[in-house]
Amino acid sequence: MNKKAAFDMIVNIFRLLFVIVVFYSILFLARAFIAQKVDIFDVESKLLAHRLMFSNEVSYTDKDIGRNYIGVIDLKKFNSDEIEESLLNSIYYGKINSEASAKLTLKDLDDNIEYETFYNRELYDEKKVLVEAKLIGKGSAQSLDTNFYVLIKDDDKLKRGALKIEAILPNS
Amino acid sequence: MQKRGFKFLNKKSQLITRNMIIHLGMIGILFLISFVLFSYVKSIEKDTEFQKIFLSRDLALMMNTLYSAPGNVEYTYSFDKLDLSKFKFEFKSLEDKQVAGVIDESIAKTYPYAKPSQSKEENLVYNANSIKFSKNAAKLTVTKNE
Repeated sequence: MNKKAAFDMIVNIFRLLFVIVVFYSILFLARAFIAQKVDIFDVESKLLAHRLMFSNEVSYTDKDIGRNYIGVIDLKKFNSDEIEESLLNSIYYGKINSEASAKLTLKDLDDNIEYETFYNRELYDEKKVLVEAKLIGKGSAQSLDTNFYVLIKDDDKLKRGALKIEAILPNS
Repeated sequence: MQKRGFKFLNKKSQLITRNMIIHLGMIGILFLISFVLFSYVKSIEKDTEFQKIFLSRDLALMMNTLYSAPGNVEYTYSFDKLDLSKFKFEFKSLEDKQVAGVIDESIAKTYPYAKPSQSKEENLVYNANSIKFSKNAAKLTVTKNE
């Protein structure tokens, strides 16, 4: 093979590589404009946070008239031993809930005291590690914090409070 | 020694012929790429997989939203640009969970939703142009909208 032929061969190899790159670029661009996934994590986690916030299990209920006061957190209910069980029953995904979990942190702004409880603690503890490790893809999870200003009903007193709900949902 | 290439062509003509073959090959590759891409996009256009995933997710989210509502709700689910009658919908309480979504001959695309543990319902809606959701207290009913 003479010098000219060798040069031509090298040029043709580069040409071929260029054509392959162009081919894959076009394929990549075509795929980029075709939506194949539906990501509703933000909506799902906000919905879970509002559902927990509006639930009878944490809100103050006037037993005489049966009215549920949204945005008024009953401290007795919040600190009771049964709250995790009752939250799981009111937002019931099934016997084994591998769909959603959350941590509820209630801050008493008047006395600067924090209380916390969980919705589906087992899954929360399992997935929190993955969220902190910032792992992505299936099997991992994402978290989203939602904050509400609330009133805390502590016996007869009403105090100012902030409820932070950290929802953790597995990636699907 | 016999020269390679076309016997009836001189060196310059051989070069022109080789370049022509390369260019014709490239044009062939271009047509091949266009054909592959057009077939790919055409196959996606016909494919209803994404619509099924979208509808299943949307219906599971709809069930979650309706159960989140503190009061009674009536809602009619329909689309202008999507013919819902092409799909079969399923809302089902299984032993360990409850799911909503689209079912077809090949595979079911369903997603779980949460409800109060005491309520139990099983509904199957299919070939409906719109679906009616009625929530009364903790009970949610899904029916074909007539």
